[in-house]
Amino acid sequence: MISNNQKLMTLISSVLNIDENSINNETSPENTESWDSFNALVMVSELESQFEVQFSIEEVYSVTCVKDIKDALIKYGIVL
Amino acid sequence: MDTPVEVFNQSSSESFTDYLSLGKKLAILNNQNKLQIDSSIKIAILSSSSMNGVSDVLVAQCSSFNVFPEIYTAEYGQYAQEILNSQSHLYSFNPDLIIVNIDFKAIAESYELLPYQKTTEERKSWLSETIIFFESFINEITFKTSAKVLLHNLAVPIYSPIGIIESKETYGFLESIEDVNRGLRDKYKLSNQVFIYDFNAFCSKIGKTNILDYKMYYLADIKVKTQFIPNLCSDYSKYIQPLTFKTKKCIVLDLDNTLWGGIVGEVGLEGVNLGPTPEGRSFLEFQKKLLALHNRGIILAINSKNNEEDAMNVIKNHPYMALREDCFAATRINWEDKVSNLKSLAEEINIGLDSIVFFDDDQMNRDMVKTLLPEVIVVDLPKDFSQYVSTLEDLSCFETLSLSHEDVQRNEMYQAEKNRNNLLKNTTTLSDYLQTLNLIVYIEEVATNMIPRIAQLTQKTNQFNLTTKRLTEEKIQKIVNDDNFRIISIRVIDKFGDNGLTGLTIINIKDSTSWQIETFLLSCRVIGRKAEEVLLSYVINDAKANNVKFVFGYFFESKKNSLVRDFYPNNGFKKIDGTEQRSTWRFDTKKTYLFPSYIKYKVL
Repeated sequence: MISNNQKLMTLISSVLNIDENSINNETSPENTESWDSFNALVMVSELESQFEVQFSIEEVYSVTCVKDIKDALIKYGIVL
Repeated sequence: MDTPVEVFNQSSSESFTDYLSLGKKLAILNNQNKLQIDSSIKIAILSSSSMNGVSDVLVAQCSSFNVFPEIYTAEYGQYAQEILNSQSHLYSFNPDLIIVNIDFKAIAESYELLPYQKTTEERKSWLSETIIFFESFINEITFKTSAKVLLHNLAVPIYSPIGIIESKETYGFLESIEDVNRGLRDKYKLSNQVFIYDFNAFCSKIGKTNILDYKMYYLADIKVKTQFIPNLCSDYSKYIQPLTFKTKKCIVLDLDNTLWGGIVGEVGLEGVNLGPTPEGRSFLEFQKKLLALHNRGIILAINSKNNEEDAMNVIKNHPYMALREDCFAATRINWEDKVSNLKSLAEEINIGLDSIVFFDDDQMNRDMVKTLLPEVIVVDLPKDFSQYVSTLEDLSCFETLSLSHEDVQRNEMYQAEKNRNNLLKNTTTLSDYLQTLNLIVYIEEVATNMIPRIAQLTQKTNQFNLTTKRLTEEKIQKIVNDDNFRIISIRVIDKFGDNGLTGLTIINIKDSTSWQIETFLLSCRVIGRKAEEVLLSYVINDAKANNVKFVFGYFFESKKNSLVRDFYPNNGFKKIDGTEQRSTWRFDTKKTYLFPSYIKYKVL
């Protein structure tokens, strides 16, 4: 079975069109050109459908880097 | 260098993000001049809400039929400025297609939230004001451009604050929105420029509770959830395919486990599954859906590994066979491989392989065709027969923007062609054959109602086309209105049937002493019957009658028109100028021009 962490990396890499190996906790809109406001929303949609969670608008706004995405998922009981 | 469809075939295209990255990849390849583009179209998107992602997904989907579109997406909410200002980018972009998506929430937010603050009378006047609102924008566009316009209708909400008694209102909230849709549809029914996109039906198909994600709407004004953008773009593609002449003409069908269940060679006519039983109904309904397509002009043909006798026995004698022998323009029931059969079918029916859609239940046959004939659309038939009907209904490659008379008659014409070929086998020389056909050629100056067919001919005719000038309906309309030009068409009828409008010439008559034949073409289905000579003689004799001294003709070489390289010299024209690729020819009207006496003609 694919681990949740692997699932997350594949998701981010496919939405942002970047290499999985280049993704780390500090990956953020500041250092990743393709992480624009639209792709951020695409990521929210994909996370919600693949991990079967629903984020609130505040949670969407609170994400500033990959680490924040992981924290948000952990909050919903996803084991990473 | 790859074509868009080759890039498409190498990529996965299942989810929204797949399409998004494929669209971006195609754009990058194009920027690096690494994409071989044969067909393109300019599309402008005007929307009242965010259309982020639509452009990339649309590029990706168009690549599936080998088109690379150039897309301009206006800032959302800027549709009015774009439409009303004639200096706007919308007009300088010069689009072929303009998609207008103005949604209900955007134009009537307070009405949507508080519908019954309006009185019955106010709701009625909202209806007429809204139709006028749309109409005035559309009028601006059609006044300023000749682009096709695709106007979204309104998604009718599923919620009313008065709930289940909504239908008891004298003039209800939901009713008023339905009436806007009805009004728009009626208004543009006869237009060949404006098309109403049934966005309401699209939302119903997806599910109105699924399509809008309030979070995405509040965050970014996204009114179609991103995961459904591919579905929306697939609907847009239905309009783009006919505009780029990618519409398919012919369905080639396997027999065993495709048109009926079971293998006829093993179980015989009595053993095949076909009819009103749970196993047989899949095939019965599939055949009827195919028959319905056949009736609107799609050509059907058979490509099956079978003993011809066994298979024909079912086709002719099975009580539940909906598709009988006369439904098929050509058949290959033999033990040859499917690829050779497809090639020879295309040749017999006289269409390109790129006009064919192939249905076969056998994965190996499908893979072979996909690999060796990439231009054929191979349908991935599901293993479960009961899904055949929905697979057929999901195909969007047969769309046309208008059903021409010729489309509906096409199958009769192919049937007649089959009979003509049989006659050809029984007669000795070509002129004997032509004499027995009782050809009549009707010559007619072009009238407005023929314009769609004339445009179609200039766009599609490759082989017998002297100059290969592709003209749009709008351009033809201009030529019809211009006294310096004449368009003369021919309609060829023989004892087997009416071939329809199948040839034309466009002549520049500005100079009263010499006429120029700018376009001269003939549809492939009437090539070889000397109808072209009748048309040419009509032009020359008419020139003579108008004291015109010379008639000039041109030959512009294309990839496919070598057939007509010697058309002018063979018809008494002298070369004046030019090269192998482009040459000018002249006919001196002092000479007499003769054509075979066995062809009758009438001038209408």
